[in-house]
Amino acid sequence: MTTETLTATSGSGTSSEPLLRVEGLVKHFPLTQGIVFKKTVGQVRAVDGVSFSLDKGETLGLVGESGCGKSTVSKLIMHLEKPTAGKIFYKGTDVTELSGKELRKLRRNIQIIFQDPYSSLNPRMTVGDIVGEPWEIHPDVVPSKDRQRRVRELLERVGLNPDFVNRYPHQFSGGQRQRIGIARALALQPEIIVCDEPVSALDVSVQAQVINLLEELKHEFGLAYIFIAHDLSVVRHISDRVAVMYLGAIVEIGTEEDIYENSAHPYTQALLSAVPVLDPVARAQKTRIMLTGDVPSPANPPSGCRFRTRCWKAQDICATDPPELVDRGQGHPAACHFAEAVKIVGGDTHVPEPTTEISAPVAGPDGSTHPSGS
Amino acid sequence: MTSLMTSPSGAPVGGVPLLEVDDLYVEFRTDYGVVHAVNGISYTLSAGETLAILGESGCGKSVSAQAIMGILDSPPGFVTGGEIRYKGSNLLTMSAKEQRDLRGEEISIVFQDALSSLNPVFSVGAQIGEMFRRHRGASRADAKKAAIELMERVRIPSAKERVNDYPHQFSGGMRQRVMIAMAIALDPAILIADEPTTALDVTVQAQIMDLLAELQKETGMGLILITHDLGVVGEIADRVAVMYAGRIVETGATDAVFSAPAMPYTEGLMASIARVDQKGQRLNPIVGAPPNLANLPSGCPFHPRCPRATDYCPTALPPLLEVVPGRYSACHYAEEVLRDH
Amino acid sequence: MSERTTSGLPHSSLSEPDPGLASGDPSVGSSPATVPELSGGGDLRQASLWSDAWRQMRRSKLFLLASGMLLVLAVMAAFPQLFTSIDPRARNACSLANSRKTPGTNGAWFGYDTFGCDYYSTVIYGARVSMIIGLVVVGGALLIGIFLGALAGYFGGWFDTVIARITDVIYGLPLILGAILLLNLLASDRFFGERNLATVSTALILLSWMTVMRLFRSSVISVKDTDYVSAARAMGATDSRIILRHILPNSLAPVLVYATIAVGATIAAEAALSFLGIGLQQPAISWGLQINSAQSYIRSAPHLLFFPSIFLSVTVLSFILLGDALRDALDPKLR
Repeated sequence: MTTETLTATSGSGTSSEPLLRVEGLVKHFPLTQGIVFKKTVGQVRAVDGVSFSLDKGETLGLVGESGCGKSTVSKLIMHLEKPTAGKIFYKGTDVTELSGKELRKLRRNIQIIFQDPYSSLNPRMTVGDIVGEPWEIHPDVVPSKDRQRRVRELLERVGLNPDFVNRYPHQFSGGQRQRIGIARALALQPEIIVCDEPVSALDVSVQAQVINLLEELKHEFGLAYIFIAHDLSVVRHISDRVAVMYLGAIVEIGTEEDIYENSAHPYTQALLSAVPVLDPVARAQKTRIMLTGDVPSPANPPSGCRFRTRCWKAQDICATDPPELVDRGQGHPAACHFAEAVKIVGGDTHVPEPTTEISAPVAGPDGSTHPSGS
Repeated sequence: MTSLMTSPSGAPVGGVPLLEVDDLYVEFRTDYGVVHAVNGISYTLSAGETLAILGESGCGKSVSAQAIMGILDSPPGFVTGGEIRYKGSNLLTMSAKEQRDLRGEEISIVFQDALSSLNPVFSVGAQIGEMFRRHRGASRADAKKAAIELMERVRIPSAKERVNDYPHQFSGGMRQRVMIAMAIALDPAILIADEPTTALDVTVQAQIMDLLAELQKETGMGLILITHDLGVVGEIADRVAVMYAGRIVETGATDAVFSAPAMPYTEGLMASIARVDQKGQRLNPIVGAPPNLANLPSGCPFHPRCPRATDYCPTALPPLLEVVPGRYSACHYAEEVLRDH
Repeated sequence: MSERTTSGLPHSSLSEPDPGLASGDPSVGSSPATVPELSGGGDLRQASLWSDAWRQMRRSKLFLLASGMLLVLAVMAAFPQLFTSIDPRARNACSLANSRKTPGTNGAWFGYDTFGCDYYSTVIYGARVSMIIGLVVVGGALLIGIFLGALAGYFGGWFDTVIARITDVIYGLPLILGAILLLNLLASDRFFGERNLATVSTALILLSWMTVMRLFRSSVISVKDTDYVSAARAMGATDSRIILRHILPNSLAPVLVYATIAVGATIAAEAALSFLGIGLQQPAISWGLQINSAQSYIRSAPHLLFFPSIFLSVTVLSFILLGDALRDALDPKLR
């Protein structure tokens, strides 16, 4: 289709600056009491200091459990929420400062695909109107005489019958609706698409269709994805790099291989260990780590390291010093004082030699966690 | 098909299995036509066994469980054929009172959505204790004591302090534990878990699955796990029954089925999921979408999506037949499929 | 894994496309080789939620009955001449000699009222006032309520708080008491100078917009948080576009249902005010006024009470039934 228009918008950035750079992003939601005279009684620290970058054509996976702040990050990037602090650079320009016309122009380049294929399409609009609406807002992208044709092209590209332009969303299945949402996101020829749990509401056999479509579109249009999901398998499949979030912060970030083959943060290791494995051989080799308890409330996170309340490696230092997200010799940054790379799934249970000076204890002081190698 | 009713099972030879579902049919009569939700499924469950019923949304897996529990929305739902036998006696022909006595006491169920299954205005202790008060006539104090014990059994920390808390004060995982506590309160012989971890995070899912496995070991109950998650099935089920369009299309020991499926649908499902233990190449999705149960394709309902389909498939419904000992598949070409692995 | 179907049935969904398009090589994308077909059959083209609702309503007997009744009443209000050759407002239409004669006298089906006017034609002409009041008041309440509700729900903040307090105050006022105060105020020389149709309508509008406002505000708030509104914002849509294109069409259903029922309630309220002597005044013709003047003769001439009451009840009931049918049709959960 029209690859030339897509690439035309992207050649401007300097070579050293990544496409998107997020620095110290913070979002606190105030907890209020009272109706007339609102009183702030606390803060939900949904996102508490998140930094990462995204290059052109790259897929960054963002994984974590519910409440870890990954969806808030997507809203901040989309400018749907205003950050409490921090900056978001798009090709070197801080977009958190933008408003009005400039913001609207920027929005063209970053689009989003939502999780729920039912609430993401306006039920009172036809598919043609939904996919073509972006051009009514940005009339310069496609001249009005071509729009009818371009909507049909887009529908065809995402695997839908172009004759369906006059149908309404409720006449489509979940997978088809997700394709409509993808077509809408493509309409403005963006460079970045934020995929917020794009397949988790779909049937197993349909998920793969949508994942494959996303991969094809990425290569065809040179798209960069921020792929947010709780399903570690899907994230591994699609991502080049992966960031693991816990309680509003990134605890570990690296290439797909770093995270899945050499995870260094105990939380990542526990997360990987908890994923059910289909293959009996791989399952037998999996290191079993069972976390106790639940994620603490983001309104009242633990002091120091936020994971320490569930961590079997926790020491006194963890309660006092929040660990930096740095490379302690394991090859990629992890926010743990006792980070060491371990292979949890899909290989032998061999635990590599500690690569750091501090050797990690096997079990926590309270014995709360039992990593029983099998 | 009658000859197969009891055979696709791991039932002990000679003994009567705990639960036998025999050629069960369920349909929903709606304004838009009759939806054939369950079309002649048969399976058995023995004590201490975990049977997974695997399928996508709308394949009839939850409806069959509702039929067993007698909680089918009726109308529009009706059981139109078959038998559900608990220790040999047919649940469907029992009196309403006999059914009530059995369900809850002998067979109980855990649902996906723990928050909406708990009453928000009663404390969890009262709700667990209610099981003893209603079924065993226990006093208020005894019921509370029993509730605390149960909460400890499902490993809810500081149960004594939390017994008077309300459902909204518990996290999702803890609420699911409360639901499990209520389900096992009366020591049922069979526990049906209908997507028990779908709403939960993966680390909590692992905890709940572990808990179910441990409880099963302690009590020897039979567990029916209804899920769409192949990984979960692989982790805890002894046997798996794969459902598609209201029918069981493949059944057998879990590892055997997953290492060499004998039905193209199972094969397709396995090829279409991403794996955490390997960075795969392309995913191989099953084409199309699950069929409309009000308007099923002719012959084998999977044929429009099946890469192995031939001209014969739309003409005849393949019965669920034994391919190799202990393995059953509803595919005209089951042996060929199995050979390819 | 819950793939919900909005219509409650997989009936209306189309089969998934052949992923030859989605999964095959990119070149396939340009050929509409395999076209998904409708699985449910029938002509689903252009089936919007509104047309679905319309189809649903047409099957409801109560809807057909209510809309039939309302059609007759509407024609009656617009062209009373079609129903009676006598114009009760004309000079010499009435003769005191016929005062309160019972039905059947001189061929008058409904008898005569106190002034000796043909009661049938009087009651027929009363439909116009009721219909006008009902539609004007509800129309006005809709305008005010939707406007304020949209702003309060969409922008929130202090505006929302202020509006919420104002509605609380008006809600706190009993309807009759509020109406007495407002009607006296509005009928004063500074405003209308008399208690006519406009006075009563204005008073009722001012006392009835709050429910519309609250209903609309809450549906705006729920629609505002949907992903399609986020998607529109993400593509840079302006607030006015979001409100008009996305929020308004999706928040209207509950308000429309309420409004239909409210027409009936408003007609009854006008009758109540007129009956109490604080609504319309003679020589206006309205069912409320007729019931009011009939109360003194309840024993000697019960027909004076009977006929306007029947017309009033049927009208109010028809609107309520219509609202009921509309609610059933617009509620996807019932389908």
